[in-house]
Amino acid sequence: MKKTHSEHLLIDYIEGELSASLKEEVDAHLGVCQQCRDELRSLKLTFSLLEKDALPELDSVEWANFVPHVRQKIESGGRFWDWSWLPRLAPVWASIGAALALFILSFYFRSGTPISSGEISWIFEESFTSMDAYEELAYMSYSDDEILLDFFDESEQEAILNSLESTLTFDDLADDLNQKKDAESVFNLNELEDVFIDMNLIIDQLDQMDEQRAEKFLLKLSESEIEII
Amino acid sequence: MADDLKWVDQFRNGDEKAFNELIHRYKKPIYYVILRMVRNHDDAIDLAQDTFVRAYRHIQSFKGESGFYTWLCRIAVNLSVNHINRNKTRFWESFEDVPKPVKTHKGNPSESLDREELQTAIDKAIVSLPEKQRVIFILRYYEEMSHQKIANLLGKSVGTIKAGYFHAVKKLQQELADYERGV
Repeated sequence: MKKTHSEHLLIDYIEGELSASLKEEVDAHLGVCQQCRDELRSLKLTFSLLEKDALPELDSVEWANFVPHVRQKIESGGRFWDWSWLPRLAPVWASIGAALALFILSFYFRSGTPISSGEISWIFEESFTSMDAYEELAYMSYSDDEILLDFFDESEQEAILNSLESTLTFDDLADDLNQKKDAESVFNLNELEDVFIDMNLIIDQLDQMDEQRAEKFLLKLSESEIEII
Repeated sequence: MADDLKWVDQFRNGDEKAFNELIHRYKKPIYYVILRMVRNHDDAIDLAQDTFVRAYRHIQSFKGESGFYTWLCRIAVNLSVNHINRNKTRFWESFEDVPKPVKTHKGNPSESLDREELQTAIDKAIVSLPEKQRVIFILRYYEEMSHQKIANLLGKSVGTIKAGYFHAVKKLQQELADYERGV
């Protein structure tokens, strides 16, 4: 067995994930390969150190307050849904507006199993129009987060990133707000950071829409986008 | 758990207490998954609460195809990854003054290390992982999820998960090498 081969297998070997025959093969190789025995020992030591990753136990008061705090956030509308500060950030939405068109196009022809109209309403209402899409696209412009980018094919990714490169990004805005250091700027920056909610749940829904429903959703999305900007 | 669906259905039918039951059941595991990722108690408790707020608002999107806990984990992971990305600078600033371990060759190396120092080293090693590898590693190693389950949760192939896990372990091995040698 070559070293590179065995390196990949050693982790599975330690975790007991190998089939009996493969385990026998690795055992035989370890019998004759000092390098792999050293690697096995090193990996086991790494795992034993990581087992010592001790997490503090919360005290009972904190656990007792957990549900009330969740309820408080739900009842107050939560920070996700306080959009009163949005008008002050209008330039951001305008500057990344071009990216929305790409986003819409990327979903326009997707099809799948039908979903209920209630779910479309949920997407529309809960995602609060197109703000999440804007934020995530802006977010992608300074992040290498492939989890999000993977939803787009290569040419779409390129188009999105190219489009965003020429517009104001979150970093630009953050730098600008940081430099000002006044109370309103700090507030805006904190709020902007707080509303970077992920788009995966919305994408899940879009993936399941048939073409007609997706069109309807995207139409609503684009209409609301015009109102906002 | 099987009766998660019962609580979900009851909540969908207007029983608010049913959602409290789900929070009670999963607040601790969700908090610890997040804490392992973000490495900060205050942030973890806040993100754990936000996970349930998000679940409350988006309960209609839970189809029951995966378990309720897996669905919650997905929300928690997404919130954590976003949080990690937003706070990269802050994470590293908090480790700037971490001292290098002092070399010693006496006794069992891992036992001879100062507990706090080792914990800091582990924190630093885990934070050094790219966020995707960090998520995969934590779900696999600490949550003991199968590659397949993680793949479903993250919407990736099993091969991608295995590769991510391998690279995460190699990186952690490298980061903790000084400690392994009893340094």
